[in-house]
Amino acid sequence: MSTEKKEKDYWDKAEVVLRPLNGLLTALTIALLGYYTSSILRQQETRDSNERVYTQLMSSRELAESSLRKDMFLAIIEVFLRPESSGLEAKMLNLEMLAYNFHESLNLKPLFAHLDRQISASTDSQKAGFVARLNQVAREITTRQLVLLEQVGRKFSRTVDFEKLQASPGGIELEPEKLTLDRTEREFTVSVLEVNPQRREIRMELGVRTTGESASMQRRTFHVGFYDFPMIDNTRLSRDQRAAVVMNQFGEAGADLTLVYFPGSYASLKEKVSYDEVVEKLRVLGESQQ
Amino acid sequence: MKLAPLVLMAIFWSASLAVAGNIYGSVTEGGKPVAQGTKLEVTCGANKYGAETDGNGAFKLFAKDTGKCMLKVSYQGQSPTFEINSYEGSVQYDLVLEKQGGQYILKRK
Repeated sequence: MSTEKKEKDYWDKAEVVLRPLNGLLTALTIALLGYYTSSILRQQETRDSNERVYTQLMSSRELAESSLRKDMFLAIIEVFLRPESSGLEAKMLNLEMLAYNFHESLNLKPLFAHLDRQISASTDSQKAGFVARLNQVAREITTRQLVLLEQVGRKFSRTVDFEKLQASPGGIELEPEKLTLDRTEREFTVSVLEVNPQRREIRMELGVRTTGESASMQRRTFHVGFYDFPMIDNTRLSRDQRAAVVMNQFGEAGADLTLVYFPGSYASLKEKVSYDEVVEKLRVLGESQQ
Repeated sequence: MKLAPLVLMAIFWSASLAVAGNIYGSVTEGGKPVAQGTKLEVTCGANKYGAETDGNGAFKLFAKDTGKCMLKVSYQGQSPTFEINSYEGSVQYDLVLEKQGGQYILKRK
Protein backbone atom coordinates (compact mmCIF):
# COMPACT_ATOMS: atom_id res chain seq x y z
CA MET A 1 0.00 0.00 0.00
CA SER A 2 1.59 3.14 -1.06
CA THR A 3 0.33 6.45 0.17
CA GLU A 4 1.75 8.37 -2.69
CA LYS A 5 0.45 11.85 -2.72
CA LYS A 6 -0.52 13.18 -6.15
CA GLU A 7 0.84 16.62 -6.75
CA LYS A 8 -1.86 19.23 -7.32
CA ASP A 9 -1.76 20.95 -10.68
CA TYR A 10 -3.02 24.43 -11.64
CA TRP A 11 -6.62 23.28 -12.27
CA ASP A 12 -6.87 21.54 -8.91
CA LYS A 13 -5.77 24.73 -7.20
CA ALA A 14 -8.24 26.76 -9.21
CA GLU A 15 -11.03 24.35 -8.27
CA VAL A 16 -10.25 24.79 -4.57
CA VAL A 17 -10.43 28.56 -4.88
CA LEU A 18 -13.45 28.73 -7.24
CA ARG A 19 -15.70 26.11 -5.62
CA PRO A 20 -16.98 28.39 -2.84
CA LEU A 21 -17.23 31.22 -5.39
CA ASN A 22 -19.45 29.05 -7.60
CA GLY A 23 -22.20 28.95 -5.01
CA LEU A 24 -21.84 32.64 -4.34
CA LEU A 25 -22.11 33.53 -8.04
CA THR A 26 -25.20 31.31 -8.48
CA ALA A 27 -26.90 32.96 -5.50
CA LEU A 28 -25.97 36.40 -6.86
CA THR A 29 -27.32 35.59 -10.33
CA ILE A 30 -30.62 34.34 -8.90
CA ALA A 31 -30.91 37.44 -6.71
CA LEU A 32 -30.21 39.78 -9.66
CA LEU A 33 -32.67 37.94 -11.89
CA GLY A 34 -35.34 38.15 -9.21
CA TYR A 35 -34.70 41.83 -8.66
CA TYR A 36 -34.79 42.57 -12.41
CA THR A 37 -38.04 40.62 -12.94
CA SER A 38 -39.80 42.24 -10.00
CA SER A 39 -38.59 45.66 -11.15
CA ILE A 40 -40.10 45.08 -14.62
CA LEU A 41 -43.35 43.89 -13.08
CA ARG A 42 -43.42 46.92 -10.76
CA GLN A 43 -42.85 49.30 -13.70
CA GLN A 44 -45.60 47.60 -15.70
CA GLU A 45 -47.95 47.88 -12.72
CA THR A 46 -47.15 51.57 -12.25
CA ARG A 47 -47.69 52.23 -15.97
CA ASP A 48 -51.03 50.38 -15.93
CA SER A 49 -52.13 52.22 -12.83
CA ASN A 50 -51.13 55.60 -14.35
CA GLU A 51 -53.02 54.79 -17.53
CA ARG A 52 -56.06 53.79 -15.51
CA VAL A 53 -55.98 57.02 -13.50
CA TYR A 54 -55.48 59.09 -16.67
CA THR A 55 -58.38 57.34 -18.43
CA GLN A 56 -60.63 57.82 -15.41
CA LEU A 57 -59.68 61.50 -15.16
CA MET A 58 -60.24 62.05 -18.87
CA SER A 59 -63.62 60.31 -18.92
CA SER A 60 -64.89 62.14 -15.86
CA ARG A 61 -63.70 65.45 -17.34
CA GLU A 62 -65.34 64.58 -20.63
CA LEU A 63 -68.55 63.73 -18.79
CA ALA A 64 -68.52 67.01 -16.87
CA GLU A 65 -67.80 68.97 -20.07
CA SER A 66 -70.56 67.16 -21.96
CA SER A 67 -73.05 67.92 -19.23
CA LEU A 68 -72.03 71.59 -19.15
CA ARG A 69 -72.18 71.84 -22.94
CA LYS A 70 -75.60 70.17 -23.00
CA ASP A 71 -77.00 72.69 -20.49
CA MET A 72 -75.41 75.54 -22.38
CA PHE A 73 -76.71 74.28 -25.71
CA LEU A 74 -80.27 73.90 -24.41
CA ALA A 75 -80.23 77.40 -22.93
CA ILE A 76 -78.92 78.96 -26.16
CA ILE A 77 -81.08 77.05 -28.62
CA GLU A 78 -84.18 78.02 -26.64
CA VAL A 79 -83.66 81.64 -27.70
CA PHE A 80 -83.98 80.63 -31.36
CA LEU A 81 -86.90 78.27 -30.84
CA ARG A 82 -89.03 80.49 -28.58
CA PRO A 83 -92.13 81.73 -30.37
CA GLU A 84 -91.82 85.25 -28.93
CA SER A 85 -88.85 86.59 -30.80
CA SER A 86 -86.00 88.21 -28.94
CA GLY A 87 -83.98 91.05 -30.43
CA LEU A 88 -81.27 90.70 -33.04
CA GLU A 89 -78.56 91.51 -30.49
CA ALA A 90 -79.62 88.59 -28.26
CA LYS A 91 -79.85 86.23 -31.23
CA MET A 92 -76.47 87.37 -32.53
CA LEU A 93 -74.85 86.86 -29.13
CA ASN A 94 -76.38 83.39 -28.82
CA LEU A 95 -75.25 82.43 -32.28
CA GLU A 96 -71.73 83.57 -31.41
CA MET A 97 -71.85 81.45 -28.24
CA LEU A 98 -73.09 78.43 -30.20
CA ALA A 99 -70.59 78.87 -33.02
CA TYR A 100 -67.53 79.32 -30.83
CA ASN A 101 -68.46 76.42 -28.53
CA PHE A 102 -70.08 73.90 -30.82
CA HIS A 103 -68.64 74.53 -34.27
CA GLU A 104 -66.99 71.11 -34.31
CA SER A 105 -70.12 69.15 -33.50
CA LEU A 106 -73.10 71.01 -34.99
CA ASN A 107 -74.00 72.12 -38.46
CA LEU A 108 -74.79 75.76 -37.79
CA LYS A 109 -75.39 76.71 -41.42
CA PRO A 110 -79.22 76.78 -41.06
CA LEU A 111 -78.93 79.04 -38.03
CA PHE A 112 -76.48 81.38 -39.78
CA ALA A 113 -78.75 81.51 -42.84
CA HIS A 114 -81.81 82.09 -40.63
CA LEU A 115 -80.18 85.01 -38.82
CA ASP A 116 -78.85 86.37 -42.11
CA ARG A 117 -82.43 86.41 -43.48
CA GLN A 118 -83.72 88.06 -40.30
CA ILE A 119 -81.04 90.75 -40.42
CA SER A 120 -81.76 91.42 -44.11
CA ALA A 121 -85.48 91.81 -43.39
CA SER A 122 -85.03 94.00 -40.32
CA THR A 123 -85.10 97.78 -40.17
CA ASP A 124 -82.62 97.91 -37.31
CA SER A 125 -80.22 100.86 -37.44
CA GLN A 126 -77.35 98.49 -36.60
CA LYS A 127 -78.15 96.18 -39.52
CA ALA A 128 -74.76 96.62 -41.22
CA GLY A 129 -72.98 95.92 -37.94
CA PHE A 130 -74.88 92.66 -37.46
CA VAL A 131 -74.05 91.53 -41.01
CA ALA A 132 -70.37 92.25 -40.40
CA ARG A 133 -70.47 90.38 -37.07
CA LEU A 134 -72.19 87.39 -38.65
CA ASN A 135 -69.63 87.19 -41.45
CA GLN A 136 -66.76 87.66 -39.03
CA VAL A 137 -67.89 84.74 -36.83
CA ALA A 138 -68.31 82.52 -39.90
CA ARG A 139 -64.86 83.40 -41.24
CA GLU A 140 -63.18 82.93 -37.88
CA ILE A 141 -64.70 79.47 -37.50
CA THR A 142 -63.78 78.50 -41.06
CA THR A 143 -60.20 79.72 -40.62
CA ARG A 144 -59.88 77.94 -37.28
CA GLN A 145 -61.03 74.65 -38.80
CA LEU A 146 -59.03 75.10 -41.99
CA VAL A 147 -55.78 75.77 -40.12
CA LEU A 148 -56.15 72.46 -38.27
CA LEU A 149 -57.22 70.47 -41.33
CA GLU A 150 -54.37 71.85 -43.44
CA GLN A 151 -51.89 70.53 -40.89
CA VAL A 152 -53.23 66.99 -40.89
CA GLY A 153 -54.26 66.87 -44.55
CA ARG A 154 -53.50 68.30 -47.98
CA LYS A 155 -55.01 71.27 -49.79
CA PHE A 156 -55.02 73.36 -52.92
CA SER A 157 -56.59 76.70 -53.73
CA ARG A 158 -58.14 78.12 -56.86
CA THR A 159 -59.56 81.44 -58.01
CA VAL A 160 -62.96 81.66 -59.68
CA ASP A 161 -63.06 84.32 -62.37
CA PHE A 162 -66.64 85.60 -62.64
CA GLU A 163 -65.97 87.14 -66.05
CA LYS A 164 -64.89 83.76 -67.44
CA LEU A 165 -67.90 82.11 -65.80
CA GLN A 166 -70.25 84.57 -67.44
CA ALA A 167 -68.68 83.84 -70.80
CA SER A 168 -69.25 80.08 -70.41
CA PRO A 169 -72.83 79.41 -69.28
CA GLY A 170 -72.20 75.69 -68.71
CA GLY A 171 -69.73 76.51 -65.97
CA ILE A 172 -65.97 76.46 -65.75
CA GLU A 173 -63.69 73.69 -64.62
CA LEU A 174 -60.81 74.86 -62.45
CA GLU A 175 -57.38 73.29 -62.81
CA PRO A 176 -57.48 69.74 -61.34
CA GLU A 177 -55.03 68.61 -58.69
CA LYS A 178 -53.70 65.28 -57.42
CA LEU A 179 -53.30 65.01 -53.65
CA THR A 180 -51.90 62.10 -51.63
CA LEU A 181 -52.90 61.37 -48.05
CA ASP A 182 -51.93 58.20 -46.14
CA ARG A 183 -50.70 56.55 -49.35
CA THR A 184 -54.04 57.20 -51.08
CA GLU A 185 -53.74 59.35 -54.18
CA ARG A 186 -56.87 61.08 -55.44
CA GLU A 187 -57.48 63.46 -58.29
CA PHE A 188 -59.83 66.34 -57.48
CA THR A 189 -61.64 68.56 -59.96
CA VAL A 190 -63.69 71.57 -58.98
CA SER A 191 -66.20 72.97 -61.48
CA VAL A 192 -68.07 76.21 -60.86
CA LEU A 193 -71.59 76.09 -62.25
CA GLU A 194 -73.31 79.20 -60.92
CA VAL A 195 -72.72 82.20 -58.70
CA ASN A 196 -75.26 83.96 -56.53
CA PRO A 197 -73.80 87.37 -55.66
CA GLN A 198 -76.70 88.30 -53.35
CA ARG A 199 -76.31 85.25 -51.16
CA ARG A 200 -72.57 85.09 -51.85
CA GLU A 201 -72.86 81.44 -52.73
CA ILE A 202 -71.38 79.28 -55.47
CA ARG A 203 -72.98 76.17 -56.95
CA MET A 204 -70.25 73.76 -57.80
CA GLU A 205 -69.42 70.22 -58.73
CA LEU A 206 -66.68 68.27 -57.02
CA GLY A 207 -65.14 65.35 -58.88
CA VAL A 208 -62.99 62.72 -57.14
CA ARG A 209 -61.06 59.88 -58.72
CA THR A 210 -59.02 57.49 -56.58
CA THR A 211 -55.89 56.21 -58.27
CA GLY A 212 -55.92 52.43 -58.55
CA GLU A 213 -59.49 52.16 -57.27
CA SER A 214 -61.71 53.33 -60.11
CA ALA A 215 -61.23 54.84 -63.52
CA SER A 216 -64.42 56.89 -63.40
CA MET A 217 -64.74 60.17 -61.57
CA GLN A 218 -67.35 60.40 -58.83
CA ARG A 219 -69.17 63.72 -58.90
CA ARG A 220 -71.20 65.64 -56.36
CA THR A 221 -72.98 68.96 -56.83
CA PHE A 222 -73.46 71.33 -53.89
CA HIS A 223 -73.53 74.98 -52.82
CA VAL A 224 -70.68 76.56 -50.95
CA GLY A 225 -70.81 79.84 -49.04
CA PHE A 226 -69.33 81.49 -45.99
CA TYR A 227 -71.53 79.43 -43.67
CA ASP A 228 -70.18 76.06 -44.77
CA PHE A 229 -67.62 74.81 -42.30
CA PRO A 230 -65.19 72.10 -43.52
CA MET A 231 -65.23 69.86 -40.45
CA ILE A 232 -69.03 69.61 -40.63
CA ASP A 233 -69.88 70.06 -44.28
CA ASN A 234 -67.64 67.71 -46.22
CA THR A 235 -67.71 64.86 -48.70
CA ARG A 236 -67.15 61.43 -47.27
CA LEU A 237 -64.59 59.36 -49.20
CA SER A 238 -63.46 55.76 -48.92
CA ARG A 239 -60.77 54.74 -46.37
CA ASP A 240 -62.26 57.10 -43.76
CA GLN A 241 -61.15 60.25 -45.56
CA ARG A 242 -62.95 63.52 -46.28
CA ALA A 243 -62.78 66.41 -48.75
CA ALA A 244 -64.30 69.84 -48.21
CA VAL A 245 -64.42 73.00 -50.29
CA VAL A 246 -64.11 76.27 -48.40
CA MET A 247 -64.93 79.72 -49.73
CA ASN A 248 -62.21 82.02 -48.42
CA GLN A 249 -63.17 85.22 -50.19
CA PHE A 250 -65.95 86.53 -52.39
CA GLY A 251 -65.48 89.72 -54.36
CA GLU A 252 -66.99 91.48 -57.32
CA ALA A 253 -64.54 90.00 -59.82
CA GLY A 254 -64.09 86.55 -58.35
CA ALA A 255 -63.95 84.20 -55.40
CA ASP A 256 -61.20 82.27 -53.70
CA LEU A 257 -61.72 78.59 -52.91
CA THR A 258 -59.67 76.00 -51.04
CA LEU A 259 -60.16 72.26 -51.24
CA VAL A 260 -58.92 70.43 -48.18
CA TYR A 261 -58.44 66.65 -48.11
CA PHE A 262 -58.16 65.27 -44.59
CA PRO A 263 -58.51 62.15 -42.39
CA GLY A 264 -62.04 61.30 -41.27
CA SER A 265 -60.99 61.38 -37.61
CA TYR A 266 -60.86 65.18 -37.88
CA ALA A 267 -64.39 65.48 -39.23
CA SER A 268 -67.24 66.49 -36.94
CA LEU A 269 -68.40 64.33 -34.06
CA LYS A 270 -71.87 64.03 -35.57
CA GLU A 271 -70.77 61.49 -38.16
CA LYS A 272 -70.11 57.96 -37.04
CA VAL A 273 -67.29 55.95 -38.53
CA SER A 274 -68.56 52.79 -40.20
CA TYR A 275 -67.84 49.48 -38.46
CA ASP A 276 -65.96 48.21 -41.51
CA GLU A 277 -63.60 51.17 -41.32
CA VAL A 278 -63.03 50.61 -37.57
CA VAL A 279 -62.23 46.93 -38.17
CA GLU A 280 -59.90 47.86 -41.04
CA LYS A 281 -58.11 50.42 -38.85
CA LEU A 282 -57.65 47.89 -36.05
CA ARG A 283 -56.29 45.37 -38.53
CA VAL A 284 -53.76 47.89 -39.91
CA LEU A 285 -52.79 48.91 -36.37
CA GLY A 286 -52.27 45.26 -35.38
CA GLU A 287 -50.11 44.66 -38.45
CA SER A 288 -47.95 47.72 -37.79
CA GLN A 289 -47.41 46.66 -34.16
CA GLN A 290 -46.27 43.20 -35.26
CA MET B 1 -66.24 125.29 -42.26
CA LYS B 2 -62.56 124.26 -42.44
CA LEU B 3 -63.49 121.03 -40.71
CA ALA B 4 -65.66 119.77 -43.57
CA PRO B 5 -62.81 118.93 -46.01
CA LEU B 6 -60.95 117.19 -43.21
CA VAL B 7 -63.99 115.09 -42.34
CA LEU B 8 -64.50 114.26 -46.03
CA MET B 9 -60.84 113.27 -46.35
CA ALA B 10 -61.14 111.05 -43.28
CA ILE B 11 -64.24 109.37 -44.74
CA PHE B 12 -62.48 108.73 -48.07
CA TRP B 13 -59.39 107.43 -46.27
CA SER B 14 -61.41 105.01 -44.15
CA ALA B 15 -63.36 103.90 -47.23
CA SER B 16 -60.13 103.12 -49.07
CA LEU B 17 -58.99 101.07 -46.09
CA ALA B 18 -62.24 99.13 -46.09
CA VAL B 19 -61.74 97.89 -49.63
CA ALA B 20 -58.10 97.02 -49.20
CA GLY B 21 -56.66 93.58 -48.51
CA ASN B 22 -53.55 91.65 -47.72
CA ILE B 23 -52.04 89.31 -50.27
CA TYR B 24 -49.70 86.77 -48.79
CA GLY B 25 -48.28 83.38 -49.60
CA SER B 26 -45.08 81.71 -50.74
CA VAL B 27 -43.06 80.96 -53.84
CA THR B 28 -41.34 77.59 -54.21
CA GLU B 29 -39.50 75.70 -56.91
CA GLY B 30 -39.19 71.90 -56.80
CA GLY B 31 -40.52 71.85 -53.22
CA LYS B 32 -37.89 74.30 -52.00
CA PRO B 33 -38.40 78.00 -51.26
CA VAL B 34 -36.92 80.49 -53.69
CA ALA B 35 -33.96 82.56 -52.54
CA GLN B 36 -34.50 85.24 -49.95
CA GLY B 37 -35.06 88.65 -51.51
CA THR B 38 -36.75 87.39 -54.69
CA LYS B 39 -38.77 90.33 -55.97
CA LEU B 40 -42.53 90.24 -56.51
CA GLU B 41 -44.73 92.89 -58.03
CA VAL B 42 -48.51 93.06 -58.00
CA THR B 43 -50.15 95.32 -60.56
CA CYS B 44 -53.78 96.29 -59.99
CA GLY B 45 -54.82 98.71 -62.71
CA ALA B 46 -52.44 101.64 -62.54
CA ASN B 47 -51.20 100.79 -59.05
CA LYS B 48 -48.16 98.66 -58.36
CA TYR B 49 -47.23 96.99 -55.09
CA GLY B 50 -43.86 95.41 -54.47
CA ALA B 51 -42.63 92.78 -52.03
CA GLU B 52 -39.68 90.46 -51.44
CA THR B 53 -39.59 86.87 -50.25
CA ASP B 54 -38.09 86.00 -46.88
CA GLY B 55 -35.86 83.03 -46.02
CA ASN B 56 -38.82 80.64 -46.31
CA GLY B 57 -39.96 81.95 -49.68
CA ALA B 58 -42.90 83.73 -48.03
CA PHE B 59 -44.18 87.15 -49.02
CA LYS B 60 -46.83 89.57 -47.85
CA LEU B 61 -48.08 92.79 -49.35
CA PHE B 62 -50.91 95.18 -48.89
CA ALA B 63 -52.96 96.13 -51.95
CA LYS B 64 -55.35 99.04 -51.73
CA ASP B 65 -57.34 97.88 -54.76
CA THR B 66 -59.73 94.97 -55.04
CA GLY B 67 -60.40 92.91 -58.15
CA LYS B 68 -58.15 91.34 -60.73
CA CYS B 69 -54.42 91.97 -60.42
CA MET B 70 -51.28 90.55 -62.01
CA LEU B 71 -48.52 89.11 -59.86
CA LYS B 72 -45.01 89.04 -61.32
CA VAL B 73 -42.03 87.19 -59.87
CA SER B 74 -38.52 88.20 -60.94
CA TYR B 75 -36.62 84.92 -60.93
CA GLN B 76 -33.36 83.94 -62.63
CA GLY B 77 -33.62 86.60 -65.31
CA GLN B 78 -37.25 85.73 -66.10
CA SER B 79 -40.51 87.34 -65.02
CA PRO B 80 -43.32 84.78 -64.95
CA THR B 81 -46.76 86.21 -64.16
CA PHE B 82 -49.93 84.89 -62.54
CA GLU B 83 -53.39 86.42 -62.43
CA ILE B 84 -54.65 86.92 -58.90
CA ASN B 85 -57.62 88.51 -57.19
CA SER B 86 -57.44 91.05 -54.41
CA TYR B 87 -60.32 91.07 -51.94
CA GLU B 88 -61.53 93.11 -49.00
CA GLY B 89 -59.92 90.60 -46.67
CA SER B 90 -56.73 88.58 -46.82
CA VAL B 91 -56.00 86.07 -49.53
CA GLN B 92 -53.28 83.45 -49.71
CA TYR B 93 -51.38 82.56 -52.87
CA ASP B 94 -48.90 79.71 -52.53
CA LEU B 95 -47.20 79.64 -55.90
CA VAL B 96 -44.98 77.05 -57.52
CA LEU B 97 -42.42 77.86 -60.21
CA GLU B 98 -42.29 75.23 -62.94
CA LYS B 99 -40.02 75.15 -65.94
CA GLN B 100 -41.73 74.40 -69.26
CA GLY B 101 -39.54 74.50 -72.36
CA GLY B 102 -36.92 76.62 -70.67
CA GLN B 103 -39.48 79.15 -69.47
CA TYR B 104 -40.70 79.50 -65.92
CA ILE B 105 -44.43 79.50 -65.31
CA LEU B 106 -46.31 80.07 -62.06
CA LYS B 107 -48.92 77.65 -60.74
CA ARG B 108 -51.06 77.85 -57.65
CA LYS B 109 -50.66 75.17 -54.97
